[in-house]
Amino acid sequence: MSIAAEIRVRRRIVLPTWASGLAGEHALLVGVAVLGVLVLTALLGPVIDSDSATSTAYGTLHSPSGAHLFGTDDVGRDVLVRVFHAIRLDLVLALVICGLATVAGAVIGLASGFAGGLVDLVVMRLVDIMMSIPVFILALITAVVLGNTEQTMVLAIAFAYTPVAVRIVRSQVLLLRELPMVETSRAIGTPAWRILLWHVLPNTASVLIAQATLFLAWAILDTAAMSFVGVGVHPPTPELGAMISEGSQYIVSGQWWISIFPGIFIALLVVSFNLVGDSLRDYLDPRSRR
Amino acid sequence: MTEPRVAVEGLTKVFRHGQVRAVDGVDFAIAPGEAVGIVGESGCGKTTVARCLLRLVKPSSGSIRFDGAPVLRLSGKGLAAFRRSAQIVFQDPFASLDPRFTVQRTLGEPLRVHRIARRSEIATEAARLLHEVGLRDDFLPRYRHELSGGEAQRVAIARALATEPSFLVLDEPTSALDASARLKVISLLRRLRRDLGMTYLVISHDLTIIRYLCDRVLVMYLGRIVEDAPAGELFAAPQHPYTEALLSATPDARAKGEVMRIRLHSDVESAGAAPGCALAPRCHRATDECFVRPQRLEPIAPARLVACHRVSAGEVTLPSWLDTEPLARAGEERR
Amino acid sequence: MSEQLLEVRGLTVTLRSRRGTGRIVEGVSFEIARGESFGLVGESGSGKSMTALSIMRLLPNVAETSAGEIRVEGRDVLGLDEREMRSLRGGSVGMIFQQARSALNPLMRIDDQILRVAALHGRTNGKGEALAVELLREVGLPRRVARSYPHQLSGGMAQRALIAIVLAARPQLLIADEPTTGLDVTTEAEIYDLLRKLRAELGLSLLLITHDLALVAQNCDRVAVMHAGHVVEIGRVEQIFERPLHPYTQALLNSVPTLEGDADEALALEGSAPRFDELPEHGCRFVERCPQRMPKCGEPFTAIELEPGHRVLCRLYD
Repeated sequence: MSIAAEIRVRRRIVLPTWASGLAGEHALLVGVAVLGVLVLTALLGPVIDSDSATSTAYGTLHSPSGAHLFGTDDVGRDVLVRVFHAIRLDLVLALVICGLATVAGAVIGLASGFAGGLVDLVVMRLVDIMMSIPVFILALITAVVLGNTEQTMVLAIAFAYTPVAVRIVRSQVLLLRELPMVETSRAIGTPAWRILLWHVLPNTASVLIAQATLFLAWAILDTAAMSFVGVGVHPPTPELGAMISEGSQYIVSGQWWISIFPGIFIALLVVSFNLVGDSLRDYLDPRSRR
Repeated sequence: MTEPRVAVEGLTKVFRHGQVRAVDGVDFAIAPGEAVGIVGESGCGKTTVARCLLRLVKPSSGSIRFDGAPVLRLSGKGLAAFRRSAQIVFQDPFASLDPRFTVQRTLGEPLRVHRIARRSEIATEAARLLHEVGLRDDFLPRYRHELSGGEAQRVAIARALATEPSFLVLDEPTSALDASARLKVISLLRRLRRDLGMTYLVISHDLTIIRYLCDRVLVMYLGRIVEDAPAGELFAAPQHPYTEALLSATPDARAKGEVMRIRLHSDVESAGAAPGCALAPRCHRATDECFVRPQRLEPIAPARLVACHRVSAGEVTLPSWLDTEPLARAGEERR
Repeated sequence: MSEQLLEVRGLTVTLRSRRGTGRIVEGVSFEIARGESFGLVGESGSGKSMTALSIMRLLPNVAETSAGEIRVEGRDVLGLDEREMRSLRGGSVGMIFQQARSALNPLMRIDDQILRVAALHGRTNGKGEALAVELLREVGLPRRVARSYPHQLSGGMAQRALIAIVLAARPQLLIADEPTTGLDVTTEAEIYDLLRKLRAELGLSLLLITHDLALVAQNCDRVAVMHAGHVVEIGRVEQIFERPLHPYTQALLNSVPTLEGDADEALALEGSAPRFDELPEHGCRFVERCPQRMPKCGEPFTAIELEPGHRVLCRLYD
C-alpha cells in the first residue's frame, strides 16, 4: 500500500528531478517569500509614514533618486510611498473579493450538488451563462449597473468569480456524494446537513483553498484593470491600476517611473499568488493523497 | 412461524428511463439470525438489491418490510430506528472511511447521530467497539492512510456495530483484501454473528466467501433470482445451469489439475428482448423452448427454488438424496 | 542453460523516497523454461509486481535494480540500450495488466492498435486487415471487435483484445499481472482457458503474477511465493501445495478460502509484512509474524534445496 502510494505520487511528475523541484515545493517557497515581503511592506509602510501618500510636498516629476527611490509624480507625490499604500489597499480588496466569491461559491455549489435535480439544473445553466461572458466584462457591466464605487466594484468582481467556485465545489460534491463514505453516513442515518458539514465540505476544502489563492491573483489584476479604466477606486486614493492610469500620459514624455513601478508590483503580486495557488493545488490534489 | 427480519416482495429497480432493469421482480425473506448470500456476476443487480433494502436507492416498485415495518414508508422516529437496526459495510474499506476523520471520530459518528453516547463517553465506547473487532485502542487517533486494508475494513465493521444493529448488509466485504486479511475478516464476521446473533445479507461474486458466511444462497442473473437454496445443498448439488457454471468457474486451490469445466458462452450481446429465459443465449443446457418460455422461480424440494423449467420438469436429474416428497408443503411454508 | 527463456539471478530492487530507503525486492532468483507457466504469488507490497517491472525495465523512477542479473533468451536485459530494450519489450516479452481497458488507447480502434504493434515489430507485410482478424479469432473475439473502440467492450473482451495486441508482436513470454482482478469468476475462467490454449498452440511461456493461490494451482507448473521482497519458497505446484515448507506458505495456504472443507479449521495469518522502510538489514523478513521463530532467524542466510527444484528460505531446514 505504502509503496504503491509513494510511486503514484512520484509518477505524476515527469520532469527531471531538479526541474520537478523547481515546479513543486520551490515554487511554493518562492511564492510565499515574495508575498511575505510584499505584505510586510504593505503593512509596515503606511505605519511608518502614515500621511505622506497624498502629500504633494516633494516636487513634481523627479526621476528616481536616493531621496525618492521610485521618483515623484506629476503633482509631487512620492511614488514609492504611494505604491506601498496601494499594495495594502489592493491586498485588502483582493481578500474581500476572494472571500466573498469563495464563500458564495461554496454555499451555492454544495447546495446545488447535493440537492441535484431541478435546482442543480437551474443553477448550472445560470453558471454557464455567466461563464460565457468574460470575467472582466461581466464585472465591468455589474459595477456600472450598481454604481461606480469601491464597494460595488468589489461586489461586481466577486459576483463574476462566483460561478468558477460554484463549478469547482459542485463537481467535487458530485464525486463525493457517490462515495461509499457518504453512503455509509446515509445508512447510519446522519442528517444531510451534517453529512455536508462533516464529510463533503472538508473534503472539498483543499481544492477550494487552491482556487481561492488563484482568485487573489485574479482579483489583484481585475481591481487594477477596473481602476485603470476608471471604475471602482478613484484618484487621489493610491491604487496600483489607477496609478498606472495616472502616469500613462507621461510615459511618452519620458517620465516612465510613475506607471512602471505600480506595474512591476502588480506583476509581482500576481505571479506570487499564482505560484502559491498552483503548487497548493498540486499539493492538495486529492488524487495525490491516500 | 416467526416473522421474517426482512421481507422483500416484487422489488424492481429501473435505471435510465426504463432502459435498464437492474432488479426485476425479486422476492425473498430473511429470518432473524439467518445469514443469506446473494451471488452473481457484476451487473446482476445484487448490489442494487442491498442498496434498496437500506433505502439508499429508491426502488421503482415493490415492498420491503423490516421486522414488519414498511421500510419505504418510514419517516421520523421510525426511520431513525430502522437506520439503527440495519447497517452496511462496503467493499472498499478506504473509500468508505473519510480521509480527514480519525478512527475515533469515524466510530463517533453513529454514536453522536443516534445519541448513543455522550461526547465524553465517545472515546471509551469507540475503544470498546475496536476491541470487538480485534483492534487495540491505539488505533483511535489514526487516520485512514495509517491503516492496512484489513484494519480499515475492521474499523468499517466496528462503525456498523456502533448502533447495535440486528441486521448487517455486507457488500463484498473481503473483495478488496489480501489473502491473510480476508480470512481474518471472515472469521471476525462469523464470530460476531455467533456472539451477537445478527442477521446477515452478504453480497458477493465470490462463492467461497458465501460458503463461509451464509446459511442460504440466492443466485441472481440479470436482475432476477434464478436459484434459492441452503448453502450446503447449493454447493453440493447446484440445480440451475447458471449456478453450475459459477461454481465450476470458481478457482479452488485444493482441487488442483483438471477441474470440471462448464463454461457459459461469452459475454451476452442481446439479453432482455427475448421472452424466454435470459440465460438461454449463454446456457450450456438450453433447448429451443428456453428461448420462448418465460421462467419462474419454482420449488423443487423443501427450501429449494429454481427458475429453470428443465429442472422443474424433471428433465434434469436431481441427486437421489434430495427429498422431493414434501414439495407442496415447502411451497406453502415459504409464504 | 539456453532452454531457459527467462533467468533472474539475485535480483534486488531498491526504492528511495522521502520516507526512506528499502530493498523492496532482495535476492530474487527464478527461471522460466520455454512453454512453462510460472506463478509469482504474494500479498500486495510483496514485491511481485516490482519483479515483473524490472524484467521489462519499467520500474518507476523512485525504484532501481541495484543488484542481480536478468536474462531473456540469454540476453542480459540490464545491459541492453534503450533501442534494444524496445525490441525486447513487446517483442520477446509481452505484458498484460489488470484493468485492461485503461491499458488500451481509448481513441484508437482495436484493429489499428493491433496493426500498430505488429508494424513496430515488423510483422505486417501487407496483410494488415487479415492479421488483425486472425489475432482476434485466436483470442476468441468476433470479427466486429476489430472496428470497435475500447469503451464498446466489456471487461473480459477488453482483456482479450489486449492479449491480441500483445500477441501481434509474437512474444515468447507473456507476463500477466493480476490479469483478471475485477472481472467476474465466469469471465476470469474464460481468460485462463484462453491463456492455457495460447500456451498449447503457440508454445508461449507465462509469468502469472497474482495474490490468488487458487489461480496458481490451476494454471501454473511452478510457483514462487514472495513475502516482503524475498522469494521464501519456490518449487513445482504440487510440491508447494502438498508439502509447503515455509511457515508463510503454510499460513497462506491455510488462509485460502475453498469450496470444500470446514470453514472453521482455516487459520488466519497474524500481523502484516514490515513496511518497505522498516525491513530488517539481513535475515528473515517473516520473523515477526512467524509462529516458529528462533534466535538465529535474524542472521544472514540463503535458500536451501530440500528436494529437486524445491527451495525454501527458512532456518527450520538447516
